[in-house]
Amino acid sequence: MPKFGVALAVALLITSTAEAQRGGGRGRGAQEDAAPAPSAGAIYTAPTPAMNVSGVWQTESYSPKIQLTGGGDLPYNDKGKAAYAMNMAALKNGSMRDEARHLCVPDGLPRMLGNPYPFQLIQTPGQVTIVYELNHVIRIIPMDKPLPNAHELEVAPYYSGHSVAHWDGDTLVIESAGFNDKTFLDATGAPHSDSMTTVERIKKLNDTRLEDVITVNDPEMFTRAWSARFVYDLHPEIRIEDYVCGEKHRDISKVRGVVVPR
Amino acid sequence: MSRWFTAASIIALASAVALPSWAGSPVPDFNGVYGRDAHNYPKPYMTRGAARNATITDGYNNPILKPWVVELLRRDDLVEKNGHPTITAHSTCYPEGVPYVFGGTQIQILQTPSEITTIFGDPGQLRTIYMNRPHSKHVEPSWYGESVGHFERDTLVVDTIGIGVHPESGSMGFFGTPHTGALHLIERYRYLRPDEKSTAPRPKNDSFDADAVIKDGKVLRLTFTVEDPGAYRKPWSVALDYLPLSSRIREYVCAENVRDKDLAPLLPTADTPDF
Repeated sequence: MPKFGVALAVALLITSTAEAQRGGGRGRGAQEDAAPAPSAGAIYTAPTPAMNVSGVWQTESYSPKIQLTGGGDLPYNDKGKAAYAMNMAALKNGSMRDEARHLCVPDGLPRMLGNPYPFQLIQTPGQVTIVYELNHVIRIIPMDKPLPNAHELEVAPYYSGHSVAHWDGDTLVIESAGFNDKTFLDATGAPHSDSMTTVERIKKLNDTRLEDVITVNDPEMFTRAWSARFVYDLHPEIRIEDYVCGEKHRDISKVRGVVVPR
Repeated sequence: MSRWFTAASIIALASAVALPSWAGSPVPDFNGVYGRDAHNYPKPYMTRGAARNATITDGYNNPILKPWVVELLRRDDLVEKNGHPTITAHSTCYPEGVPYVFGGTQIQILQTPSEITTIFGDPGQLRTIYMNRPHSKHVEPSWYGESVGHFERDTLVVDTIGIGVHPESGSMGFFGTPHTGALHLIERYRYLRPDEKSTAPRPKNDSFDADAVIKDGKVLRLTFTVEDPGAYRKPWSVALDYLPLSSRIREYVCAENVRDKDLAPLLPTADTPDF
């Protein structure tokens, strides 16, 4: 009996201490930086570590001109070439403005994928959400759902497109359609049409590196589909910050290829 | 005897560690999209509740308001009465911050064990609540401040400080919540219990599709408390009920929706791009 008493008391003490460490405190926040409280069943848990793509990610290099997989220039058709030439001339003479940088509207795809600011991937049941610090763009991506129908994509086009995702093994595949044609493919003003569709294949290269290979299909502007690859590093120390156009933001000068205008 | 003594002292020690009775119990799952089909929210000093054209005219004498707050509200009231658009964070595309942003109509909660992200649908903004950890030692003021959270039984408690003071954004005035840098906001989220009646406004197909309301779904109640001795003589609280929705938050790009020529020049823009 005394032995049982000791065991019970020790068990109680251990449980109590563990609970105290969970930080279920009262008042202003919890004072312990401790293990999370147990979750209800519906909180998302990645089936494998490779399928846990959550976290804050950031590229280590930036290119104003989109770098195609396999090299070379964007395979524009005649219409695409003419539109690109027009954009470049208009940006140069000031009759067109890069609104993503001056009014801070979303960059759209694939330009957004190469931006030098961090972004956060959040996995919850039935949804992947990507939050880009730059211009505070939010992509809501339902899992295992079809894209909206053609009519909805046409009447309500998005800067970032409408997206859905599914897993192909350990690769997160995001399909997007229903873009508006107000965004550029990169900072040089490369255009696309509103019938562009994209497929992103997001895959962890190791515990702290992630790649996103995007394939762009836009027969109205290009002679063939083409791809570009973006690689990111995990940055658990970064918290996504507020972003207001024209304010001073975090220092991105260390990202290779970034030229901060003076 | 001595062993029993040991056991008794351990039990005494264990019970001395004061713990809430719910510690360690599973937390509720708030993942989902919630809607409240009303603009703005009632404040204790507003006399006509949550209506868009709510007026504080009769509330000027509300004893909780500090004189500078009354002046600010009086100014905005005058602007509104003269038919000019009131400058608000919403109409000029600035981050709305809390609690101003609760005047919006849709919230999506993304819940993970370590962080809870709330996406605010109609300004297309978000903030992150860092779970089970204290505030930073030095909180730099930001638009949404720093939020930390924890669960108490069925309730998510969110504590926010470091909410910046930005009169240029309009977040302080008539539709906003005038505040100082000392603003301390406490939000409490929980599902209504079966015996509680929802006060959620009936959906009017205004801000979201009424058909998207999940029938028999759980109603989410947010009660927030504003503590700011620099602006209010005592704390005040508001309770808002949200209906669960099956619809998704849509893309919202504020800057392209500003049609008012008086407001357009007030939008935040960058003369020089960041990179």
